[in-house]
Amino acid sequence: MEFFKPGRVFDFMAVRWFWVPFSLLAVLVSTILCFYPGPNYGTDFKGGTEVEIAFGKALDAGSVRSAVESVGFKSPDIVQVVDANRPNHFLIRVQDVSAITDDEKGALRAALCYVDDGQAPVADPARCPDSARATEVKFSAGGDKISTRYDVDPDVEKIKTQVLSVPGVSLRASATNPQILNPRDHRVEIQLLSKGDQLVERLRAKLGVDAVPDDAALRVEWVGPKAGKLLRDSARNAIAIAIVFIMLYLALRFDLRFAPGVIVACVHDAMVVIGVFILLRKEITLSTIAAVITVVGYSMNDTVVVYDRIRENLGRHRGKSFAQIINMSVSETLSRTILTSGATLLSMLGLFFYGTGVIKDFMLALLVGIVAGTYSSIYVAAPLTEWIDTRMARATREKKKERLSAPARAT
Amino acid sequence: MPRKNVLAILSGVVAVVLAALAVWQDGQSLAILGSSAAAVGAFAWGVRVPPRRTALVLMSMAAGSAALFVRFDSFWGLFVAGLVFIWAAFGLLPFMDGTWRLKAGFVAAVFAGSIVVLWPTVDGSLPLANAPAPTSTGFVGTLARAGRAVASHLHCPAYIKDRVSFGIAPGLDLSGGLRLVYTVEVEDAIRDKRDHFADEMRQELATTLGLHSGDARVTRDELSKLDAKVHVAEPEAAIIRLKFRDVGDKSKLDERFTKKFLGELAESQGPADDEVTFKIRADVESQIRERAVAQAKDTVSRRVDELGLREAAVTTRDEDIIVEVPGNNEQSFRDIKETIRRTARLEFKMVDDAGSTAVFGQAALKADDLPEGEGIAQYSEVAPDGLDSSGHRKSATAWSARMSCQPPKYVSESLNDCLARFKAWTKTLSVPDDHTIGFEGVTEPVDGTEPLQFKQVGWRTLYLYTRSELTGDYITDASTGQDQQNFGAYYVALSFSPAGADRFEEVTGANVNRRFAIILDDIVDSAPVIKQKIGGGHATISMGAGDPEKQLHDARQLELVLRSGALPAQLSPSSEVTIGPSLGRDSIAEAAKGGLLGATAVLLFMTLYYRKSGVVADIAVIFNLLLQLAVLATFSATMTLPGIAGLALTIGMSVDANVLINERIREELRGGKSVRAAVEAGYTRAWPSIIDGHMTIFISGLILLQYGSGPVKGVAVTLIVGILCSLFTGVFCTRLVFDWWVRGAKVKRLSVGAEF
Repeated sequence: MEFFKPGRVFDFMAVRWFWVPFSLLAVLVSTILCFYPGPNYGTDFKGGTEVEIAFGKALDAGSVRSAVESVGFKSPDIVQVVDANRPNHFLIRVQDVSAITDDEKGALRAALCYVDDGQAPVADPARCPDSARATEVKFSAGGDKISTRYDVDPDVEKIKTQVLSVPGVSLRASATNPQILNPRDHRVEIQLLSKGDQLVERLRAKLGVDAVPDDAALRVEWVGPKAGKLLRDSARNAIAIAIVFIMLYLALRFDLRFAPGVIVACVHDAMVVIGVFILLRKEITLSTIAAVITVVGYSMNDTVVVYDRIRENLGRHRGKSFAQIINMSVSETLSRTILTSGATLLSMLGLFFYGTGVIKDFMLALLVGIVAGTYSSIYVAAPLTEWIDTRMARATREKKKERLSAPARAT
Repeated sequence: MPRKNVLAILSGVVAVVLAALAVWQDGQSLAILGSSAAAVGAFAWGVRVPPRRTALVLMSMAAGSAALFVRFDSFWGLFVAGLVFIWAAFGLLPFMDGTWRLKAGFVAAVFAGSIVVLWPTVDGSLPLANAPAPTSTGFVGTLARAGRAVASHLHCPAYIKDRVSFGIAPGLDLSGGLRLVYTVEVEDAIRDKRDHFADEMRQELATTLGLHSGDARVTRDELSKLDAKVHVAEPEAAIIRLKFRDVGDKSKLDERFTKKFLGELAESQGPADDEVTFKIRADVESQIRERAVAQAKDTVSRRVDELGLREAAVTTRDEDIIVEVPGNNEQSFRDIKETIRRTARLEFKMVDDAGSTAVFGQAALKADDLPEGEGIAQYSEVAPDGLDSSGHRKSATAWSARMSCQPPKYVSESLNDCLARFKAWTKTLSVPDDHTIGFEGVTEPVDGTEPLQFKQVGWRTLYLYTRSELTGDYITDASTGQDQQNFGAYYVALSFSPAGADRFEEVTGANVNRRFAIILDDIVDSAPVIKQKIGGGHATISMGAGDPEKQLHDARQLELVLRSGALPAQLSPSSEVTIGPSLGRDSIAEAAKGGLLGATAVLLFMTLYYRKSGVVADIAVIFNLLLQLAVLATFSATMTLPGIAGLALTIGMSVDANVLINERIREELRGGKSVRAAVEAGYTRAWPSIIDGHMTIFISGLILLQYGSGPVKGVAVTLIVGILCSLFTGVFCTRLVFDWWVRGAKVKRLSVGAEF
C-alpha cells in the first residue's frame, strides 16, 4: 500500500505566502486570547467550590456528573467517597465561586458596625451595642463566609439582622447560622448563600427532594488551588531552559539556521492549543499543561525529521534553491508524516470519542496539537529556515564583496 | 545439530523447569537439588562440546548460582541469574551468527525480566479462579469464558509477589485514594508570634530602661534585672501585658519604642494603673492566620514531595489542609500520616540545674507531698554549673522528679499516657514565668541484647529557662548518620545557617560547663554538657538506643521533616475518608474502551500498510509498552492521566521510528538495491532522523525533570523512560527480525507492503 507515487514532488513552498500569514495570525489571535478573555484556569489553579453531599438515592458518578452539568456548572470533578453510613456520599468540585463585590463588602462592614483600628467606634448603642460591634471582619476567598470578632459575647440574632439589612446578600438557611465559632475570643462565622448552595438547590430541583434531601449538603466550602504559582512558574522556567538546550543541540547537530525554526514551530503549536482551549472556553488544568508539553515533544520530533531530510538533500543537490530543497524533502517525507501523525491521531480518536470530561478535553488538546505539529513542520519551521538562509546568504555575499573591494581600494 | 548439544540444551531446560517448579512450590530443597543437578549436567556436557562451550558454561553457572540464591532467599540474585540463563540459552540456537544470538538473547532476557517485574502489578486485575464466569452466550461469551479461565491460572506466585515490593500504582485521578483533612491550629501560630513580640519587647525595654546597649542579644542577667523593673506577661493568645514596678517608668515608653511595635500591636492603658496592654491588631492576626495556613500547606507539600509521592494533591480549605494520597496501601498511609503531622519544632534551651532546687529541692517539694502510687519520685544529681570567676568548672546539685511508667495502678498505659499524667502533676508545682519544665525519656538497658539495646521506662524533668536560645528556623540541612562508637546508634546531624551558627557559637561560649537541652516537639531529646564554645554550626540529635531498624526509620523521618521545615502550628486530624477516582469510574471505563479501540486500529493499520514489516513494528510497539511499564514499576511510579499522555507520545515515537525505517527500506528497494543491502541502508540512513528526534525529547525530559515540579515531573519521567525504551524496541529489536529475514531465512522479497 502506498499513499503517493514515489518520486512525486509537491510544490509546498509556492503557497507559503498564504500559510505563513495564516500561522502568524493564529499565534497573534492566541496571544490576544491569552489576555482577553484570558485563560479559564480550572480548580487546579484557581480553586473553586467544593460541595460534600450525601444523596438520598443510589446514583453513580456518571449520572451525578451529567446532573451537575445540566444545571449549568461546567466540567465538575465528581469524586465518590467510601462511607459506610452514607452510601451515596460524593465530593463535587466546581470552578464557580461566589463573589462579593467591593461595594457589598463595604456595606457589610458598615452594617456590622466595623471600623478600622484607630478610628472611634460607632457610638450608636441601639444599632451597634458592644455585643454586635465587630472588631474584625474577614471575607473568605470563596466569598461565601464572613468571620467576625467581637469584644464581648456576641448577639447572634442582632448580627443576623445586620447582615440581612445589606441588599443582595442572603444567608444560608441553617439553624446554626451565624455561628459562634470560638466563645473564648468571640469569633462568629456568618455563612452566606453561595454558588455551592445554588448547586445543591438546582440539583434538588432537578433530581427531586428524595434524591437531594434537606440535609444532603454536608459541607459547602471554597477550596484553594492544588497547584499554585509555584508550579506554573517552574513549568514556564523549565520550558524556557529546555528551549535553550534544544537550540544548542540543533545548532551543533545541524546548523545555526535550523535551530530557530524548531523552537518557533513548538511555540506556535503550544499557542494554538492554548488558543483553541480559550476559544472553546475549556478549563486549563494540570492535565492540560501535561498535554501541551507532550504536544511540544511531538512537534519537535516531527520538525526534526523534516529537517534531517533537508540537511541530507542540501548535501546531495547543490544546484537547487532552498525552496526547491524544502519541497523535495517535505514530499519525500510526506508519506511518513501522514503515516505517523495518522497513526497517532487514530490512537487518540478512540479516547476522544469515548472519553468524558477531563479525558475528552485532554485528548482534544493532543489532537489539536498533533495536527498543528505536523502542519508547523512544513509551513512554520521550513519557511523560517529558508528565510534565515537567504538572509545569511545575502550577508555572506556582501561580506565577500566588501572583502574583495577593500584591497582594491588600498592599491 | 550434534547430539551432545541436544542433551546439553535438554539439561538446561530441565534446570529451568525444576527451578520454576521449585519457585511455584516454594520448596527450597527441591530447587537446590534440581538446579544443581542440572547445572552439573550442563557443565559436564558443555565442557565436551566445543562450539557452544561458552554459552553452556554460562548457563550452568547461572543455574548453579540461581540455586544458591534460592537457598539464601535472595530474590534479585535469582532474578539476575535467571536472566543470564535465558541470555546464555540463546547462544545455543543453531542458526545465525554469534552476535545476533547475543543480541537476541539480550532482548529475550529483557522481555522475561519485564514480565516478572510487572507480574505483581497486574496480578490484582486478574480474575479469581472461583469468580463467577460471564453469562453471555454465543461466540463472544465462549471466548470471554475461555480467556478468564486462562487468566485465572496466570496469577503471580506468592514467592514473587512477596519479594517484588514495587509496582505501578494508579493515581488519584484513576483510582482514588485516601483523603485526609487536617485543621491548622492557628492559635499556636498567633501565640508564637506573640512570644516573638514579647521577646523583642524585652530587648527594647532593656535598652530603653538603660539596662542593655548595642545590637547584641540581651543576656539572661540583664533579663532578670529587667524583670525586677517591669514584668512582661502573656496572659492570652494575642495579648502582652507590661506591669511596671515603678509607675514612673511607664512614661519612658518613648516614641522609638512605640514606633517599633505599634504597626502590629494596639496599645491600651490598664487594666491596672501600672500596667500597659498590647494586643496584636486584628488585621495582623488575620494575616498570621492566613500565612500559617499557607506555610503549613507548603511544608506539607514539600514533605509529600520528599516522600516520593509526586502525585498526591495538597489543597487548603479555610483553615484546613486537605491531602489526597493515591493508592490503597495501609502501611504507606501510616507513614504518610506520621510524616505529615510531625510539627518538627526544634528548640534549644539552657538547663538551670542550680535553680532546680527552688522547685524540686527537698525544701520546696516534701517527700510526703508526692502522690501515692503514681510512680513519681524525687532525684538529685551532681550537675555542672558553669565556671567560677577564675575559670574553674563548678558543680551544683540538681534536683528533678522522675516518673516510672506503668506502676501497678496503670499497668497498661502507654508512654504518652504516662507523660500526660506526669505533666498534669507538674502543673501543680509553682514555676516562675521565666522557667519551664522539660521532659526527657528515662531508659534502661534491655538484658541479653547484643549490641546492648535500651528501652524507655519513664520520664524525668529538666528545669529549663523559658527563652529558647535557638530554633529550627536556623537549620539549613539535616542528614542521618551512624555513630560507630556508641553501639552504632543512629543520629540526625543538623547544619545551621550562618546566622544560626553565630548564635550557636555565642550561646555555647557564654554557657561553658552548663547543660543545653535539645527539644523536639516539646520533648527533650538530650541535654549534653557544653564542654567548650562550639563553632561551625553543627549539632546532632540522637535516636536513643532501641531497636536499630526503628532508630533508622525514626532518623530518616526526622531528617525529612527537619529538612522540609517545621510546621507553623500543629495539625489536628479532622477527617479521613477513602475516595474514588477523581476522573470518575464511569469515564475511565469508557476511555479505556476508546483507548483499546484506537490502539487496535493503529496496529491493524500498520499491518495493512507494511504487511509483515508492519507486524514487526506492532510487536515492537507492544514490547515498548511492556518495557516502559516495567521500568516505571521499578520506580514505583504513579500512573495518572498526564502520565498516560507521556506514554502515548513515546509510543507514537516508537511507531515513528519504524515508519522512518520502513519508508527508507522501501526507497532503497525502489532504487534497485538487494534486499540485504536495502535493510542495511534503510537502518543506517533512518538513524540520524530517529536519534535527533529522540535526543531533543530526551533533553526536554531531563530539563523538565530537573526544574519542573508536581505533574510536570511525572510527565518528564515517562518521557525519559519512554525515549530510551523506544530506541531499544523500535531500532534494536526490529533490526534483529529484519536481520533474521535477510541473513537467516534469506528471503528474496521483503514484505514491506509494496512490490518492487
